Amino acid sequence: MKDKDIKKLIEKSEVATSVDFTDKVMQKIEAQNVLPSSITIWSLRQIIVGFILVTVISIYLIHHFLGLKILAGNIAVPFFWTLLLLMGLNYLLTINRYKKI
Amino acid sequence: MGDKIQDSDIELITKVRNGDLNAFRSLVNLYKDKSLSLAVSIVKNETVAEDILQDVFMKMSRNIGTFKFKSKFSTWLYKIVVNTCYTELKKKKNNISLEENEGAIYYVSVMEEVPSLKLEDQQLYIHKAMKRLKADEALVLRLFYLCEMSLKEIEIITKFSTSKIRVDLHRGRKNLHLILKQLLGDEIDNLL
Repeated sequence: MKDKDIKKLIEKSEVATSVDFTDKVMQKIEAQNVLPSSITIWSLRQIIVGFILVTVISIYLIHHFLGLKILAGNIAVPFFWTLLLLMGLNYLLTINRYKKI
Repeated sequence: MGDKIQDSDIELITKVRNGDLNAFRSLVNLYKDKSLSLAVSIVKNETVAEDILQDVFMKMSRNIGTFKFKSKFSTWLYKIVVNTCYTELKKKKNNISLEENEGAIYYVSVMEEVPSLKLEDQQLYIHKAMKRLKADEALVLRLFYLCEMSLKEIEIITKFSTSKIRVDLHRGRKNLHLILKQLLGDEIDNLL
């Protein structure tokens, strides 16, 4: 038997699912709610709120527990590092989103 | 038979990852019949295969975030189908072979009375012949001819060596012809 004949035969061997197969799967999916929720990228407001929170926490920790200086020259070190941290996180989330596309 | 993922798949998968149920439905509809054909190749029983396939799509929904777009989506999905089927086959091996044998006796006695071969009859005979093939041979034949997978992709999906895949393809073709000849005699020409 030629290769193209075998291909025709095998193509006819495709098995169809029952009519309600997809509905059954969808019901299970909806019942278990297994699909991931949509990704939201942080807004500017969220970044500012996060920045303030992390800064306050950092200052508190550094000032009260480690006894380190809060200021280096005129620059607030925790502010600077927190800003970098949040910008980095936001950048990573954005990259992650585009990588999927 | 290239390794490149289709744009339509990328769009659907991205939507599914964002929680779009309609996109998930489309993905299921796109791959359900070929996936079921592969499952039947292994477990030899449509009802059992369909149950397994439901589990496969549940697994797909949970793990779609791990798909890295490095291969075709079908390769990734069929790998889950094959793995799940072989795992289930180990659990239910005895029951399935008993059901299959009962089905075979009924099927032959009905089909031998059909004198001419319409398309539906052809499909039934081919389906019957495919069921009589060894699981590995039927699986490799369907992956190669029905799903249009390359040898490399079949290797990834089944974890068989390239030489085993070649042997299974060769034996599968030969045995399929022999079984159809046994079932149909000279009527086999009407299939081609």
